[in-house]
Amino acid sequence: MRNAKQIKPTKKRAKLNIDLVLAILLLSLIAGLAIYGFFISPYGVNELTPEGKLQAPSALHPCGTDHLGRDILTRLGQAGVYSLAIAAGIVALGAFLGYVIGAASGFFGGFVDWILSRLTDSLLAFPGILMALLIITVLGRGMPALILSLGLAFVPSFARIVRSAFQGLRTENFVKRLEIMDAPSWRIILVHLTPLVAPDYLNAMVLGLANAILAESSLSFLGFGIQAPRPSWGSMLADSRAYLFRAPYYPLFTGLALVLTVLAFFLLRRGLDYRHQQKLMSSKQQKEPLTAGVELAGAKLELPERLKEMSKHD
Amino acid sequence: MRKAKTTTKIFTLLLSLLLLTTSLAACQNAPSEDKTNGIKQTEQQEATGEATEAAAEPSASEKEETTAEEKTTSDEEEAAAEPSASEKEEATAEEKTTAAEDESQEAPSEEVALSPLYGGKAIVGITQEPDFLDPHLAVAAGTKEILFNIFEGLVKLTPEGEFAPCLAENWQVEDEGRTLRFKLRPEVKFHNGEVVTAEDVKYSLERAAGLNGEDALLPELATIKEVEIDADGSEIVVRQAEADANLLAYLSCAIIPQDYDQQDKSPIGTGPFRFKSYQPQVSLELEKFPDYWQEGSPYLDGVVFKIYGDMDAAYMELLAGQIDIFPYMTEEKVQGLLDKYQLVAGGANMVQMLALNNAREPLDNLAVREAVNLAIGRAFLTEQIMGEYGQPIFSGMAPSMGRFYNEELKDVNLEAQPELAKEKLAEAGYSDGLKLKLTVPGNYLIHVDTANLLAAQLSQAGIEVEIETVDWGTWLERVYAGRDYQMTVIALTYDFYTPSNVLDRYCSEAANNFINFSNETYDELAQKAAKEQEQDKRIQDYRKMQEILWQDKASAFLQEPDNITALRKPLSGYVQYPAYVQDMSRVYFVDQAALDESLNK
Amino acid sequence: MAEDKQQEKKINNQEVGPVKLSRSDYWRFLGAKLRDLVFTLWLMSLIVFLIFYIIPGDTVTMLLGTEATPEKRAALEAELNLDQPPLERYRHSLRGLWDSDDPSISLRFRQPVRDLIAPRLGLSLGLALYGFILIVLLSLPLSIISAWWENSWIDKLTSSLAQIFMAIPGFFLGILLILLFAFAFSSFQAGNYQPATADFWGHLQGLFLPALALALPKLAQAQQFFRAELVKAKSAPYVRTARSKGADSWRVLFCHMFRNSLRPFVTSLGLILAELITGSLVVEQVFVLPGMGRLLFTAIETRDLPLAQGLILTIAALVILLNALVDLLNALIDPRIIAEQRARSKKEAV
Repeated sequence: MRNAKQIKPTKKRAKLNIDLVLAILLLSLIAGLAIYGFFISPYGVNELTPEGKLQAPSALHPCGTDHLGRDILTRLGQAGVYSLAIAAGIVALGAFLGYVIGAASGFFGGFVDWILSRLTDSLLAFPGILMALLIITVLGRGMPALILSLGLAFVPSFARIVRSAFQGLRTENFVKRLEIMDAPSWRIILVHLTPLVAPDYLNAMVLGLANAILAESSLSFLGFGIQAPRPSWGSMLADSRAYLFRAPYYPLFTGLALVLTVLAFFLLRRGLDYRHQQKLMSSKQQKEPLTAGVELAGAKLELPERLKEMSKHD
Repeated sequence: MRKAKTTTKIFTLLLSLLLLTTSLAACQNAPSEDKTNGIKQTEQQEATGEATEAAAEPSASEKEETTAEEKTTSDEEEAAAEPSASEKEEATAEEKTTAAEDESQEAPSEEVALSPLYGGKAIVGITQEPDFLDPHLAVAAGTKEILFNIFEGLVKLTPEGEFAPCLAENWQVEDEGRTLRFKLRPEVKFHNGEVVTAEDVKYSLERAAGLNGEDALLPELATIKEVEIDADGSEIVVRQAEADANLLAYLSCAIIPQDYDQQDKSPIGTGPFRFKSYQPQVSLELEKFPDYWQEGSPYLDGVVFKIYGDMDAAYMELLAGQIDIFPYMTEEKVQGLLDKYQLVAGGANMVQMLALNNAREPLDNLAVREAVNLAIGRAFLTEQIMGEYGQPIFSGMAPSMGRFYNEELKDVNLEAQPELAKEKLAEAGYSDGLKLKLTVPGNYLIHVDTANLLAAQLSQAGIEVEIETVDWGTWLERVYAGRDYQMTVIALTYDFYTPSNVLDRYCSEAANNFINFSNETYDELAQKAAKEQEQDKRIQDYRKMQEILWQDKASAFLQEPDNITALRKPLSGYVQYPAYVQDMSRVYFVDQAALDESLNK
Repeated sequence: MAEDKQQEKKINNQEVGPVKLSRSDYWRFLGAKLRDLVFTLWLMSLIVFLIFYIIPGDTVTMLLGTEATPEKRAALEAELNLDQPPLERYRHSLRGLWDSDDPSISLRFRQPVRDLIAPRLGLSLGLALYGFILIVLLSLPLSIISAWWENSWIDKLTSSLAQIFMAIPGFFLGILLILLFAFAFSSFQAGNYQPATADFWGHLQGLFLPALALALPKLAQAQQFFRAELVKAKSAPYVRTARSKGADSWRVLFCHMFRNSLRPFVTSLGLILAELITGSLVVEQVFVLPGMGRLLFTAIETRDLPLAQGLILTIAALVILLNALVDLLNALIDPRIIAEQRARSKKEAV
């Protein structure tokens, strides 16, 4: 749809951005869940409720109780906060390192590019989950290890976006002029080029959040992520596997919370993306028609790149 | 265009709602299913399987009293077939067979006499990968329970916790317990067809005890000074420097053919089954050994041990009916299975404990350890973790150890007493509460769950627990070997069915005394008990040691979790040993038609 | 140098007409890919070794568990040849992968690493291929349909479904499918795995749900991506020209649009296959399949360096090879890539 629109630019004024609205609704739902989990719920996150274990949903326990008799809804809410906090950490780390590496690699080219590309290639070829597993075994299980390992696993996809953008920008005339004027490289990168890349990079970071949540829950599912007694959607799903037929509500509610959160970020990204393009269109900034992607330069690589980062989560 | 997008979004929302409704619909379906087969019922244990085996030996059938509390509604009966070597014993192995047919509910006491059929192949689900197929190298409980079917020693463990003659027909104790003289059973064959000679026995024992110039593969046997062949190769004499009353148990170690160096790849022993194939992470197959020395055994033509990554994975296949025997059930999981499977449960000599590091502040303070023990409600804990399949314990020995178990410690402190615990804490100077760190191996779900429950209980007494989950390798290195921890939850299993194997680890200088317990009287008693030839005195010593562990609150010993085995309906004869052992030689198929008929009666 | 830059810029702007390439250019292209591949693999083996060197615990500790005594440790260490220096063990863990006289032996299972990996590689690859075939078979028609009838109800339906499926992680999808089949069709699908040799049809059946759980999220991605490509192509000038010349719609669709969208298709499908291979590691766990995933977790857990090294390098080599293959295919479809590479390597040389 987006593409069609770009090719036949409509003159209609920007309407309500449904993606964005839906994303915000979903996010506030998750936030509400978190607030319930931490403040409103009458149960503690590890409290063994008097109703006992594996109770089906009821007025007392809207999502039932788990295999130890803890309130599932409370745990879902708190798990969400941990998931989001960790995802934010992962994306911050990945995006920062990815930016540094990608910028250096794209701007300087040559040998720097080759060695950095090999590094990111090996990181990329190294399935993210393996990488994370190994780092977690070194650092011990827990949140810092989780953030570090997945953050590193996210570096290559971020680096690639920046690299291809910088490779394109590098050949622009204004950069050449700046170089002739003897502007230091770091200044060109930071002051002149970064603002150009920023909007799309932020967009990629939103998508990164969704993927980070998926990756974290995968690891928690395998038992390497967030550790008990802290709840996590992934580990709750793993726990629930044993009671699949006795308590199907346990995996279903847990999975639903996870899926809705990820969906919220997917939609948020699309919404932001759409808004960004509308702005571009209304200010008539576009020099040439933007293609399906959002990346500035390196247009021919952008879609596969995006596909790559989209599916990074497992 | 915008309209299109709106519709897309509405679809998205609708689908999410659909997911939600399916989940709700599913919830309503599930619990009703449970109720129909939730009724448990005790089924009489068939005596036939035992009787056949007993034909080979003098049988002494006796009624047994169970040591632990009654666990099922109906009576428990057990036909013991093995002869006891020296004295009458109290009951050790309790058997609980539960089933859920409505038919048997109508006639609960009816004896179902079904003759065992020969032939058939049983699939056993296991969750532990074998470590070494060489019986002297194997350490993991999960490997030994398989190897029990391939290898035999001079003596063999019985379900009653005794050691019965096996490759030795009988034996004499000489020289104040320092020497054991075994008369070898003639014409016993190895799986490769060769006859077991005294040289093979000597080679095996020397290899295990490290008398061949290399490291002892089974350090327990290191007390052996010399192994001698006597009476023209029909007798074996085992000499020790100092008498160790536990030696007989250690001599259940496998006898293997001399100078055969492929044991780890293709093991050869004398057991009822011989090794067929092993594919890592897939299966280990055994087939019937036709030349087995015990006539009429085994019943099955073959056994396949299917290896699963974890309990949940195996449970999936159990639900699909792809496993005949599964030995590691847990209470909740049992529920969905009772129409297809019957359950055999019993203690397997396992001790689950909240280990307290006696050398770490503040747990070096007896009052603090007392407070921790007082804060734990074992009855509730056991109920939560194992349902009706666990016995609370208070000292380091499980009821499975039979006569060595100190029954006076059966129910000293079943309920949590947070107020008393707080008093003890105040006495120790922690009236404002206390913070402790609990390190758990994250790969054992049961321990993680236990840790969560313990944290909840301890917080009632003002002890704040921080749970730290580590992986098994880290746990072994840091907690177990490095003793760098405050508290940890772990279950201990034992190499041999001997009291010393259970209790010696708490001696001050023991290499595996990971709780840093230290008590001089305890150490002296341990030394004395090992040499004691008089059984009664020996039992008293070990009971006294358990009392010391409880008095000093060496740790918070929690429970002996039962081993619950699911047995598919046409199979029978499975017996729970007081150790991790899967004795497949006793298992047999019964005629499905006859079974149905007898149930319909 | 200036010329090169100019040329490169031309390429970037895609203004270059037919590029003349000699055979040696193709070989050089291949050579460069191969060099990168070997270097990347070596780098990874080094990382794995270093990590195994640092992490606490070793195979002997893991095997002995709570029964460890110094005597037993010593006996086992000798048994497993762990008394060699670490660098020698690293070298052997690499060399042993192809040296059949002195193969690399797993510490945990004491079997040659290759014998352990081979059957599991078959399963994992088979699963990935199965999922891949599902993706290709379903995503192409679906994307053509939704691109052709753009904004019709069917387009909207597939697009919203795609959004949802992209947000469902494979392991949860697996659980959902198991539940769905159990409740809706009262058939239990997990754990029905049969080896291909025993019953090929049963094998395929047993793998269906895992493959589906693996494929659906990627299927959604692929469908959305292809659809966007086709929609873009639909309004491209050449299609309009063809249509105005009177070519009928289906002809335009297949002959012109499809061929022009081929390159992004190949690229994305290649990437998807690579991801399916790594994705199968997790999905295997849900469906209890004896694939590489479980072996790898065991290898890491028991600190089995030779086995982990073998597995990780195998998986990585597959992924990198696939990437290289995609590049190569693209180069055959569109030789400008090679020209670009040639230009860049010349630049590097200068």
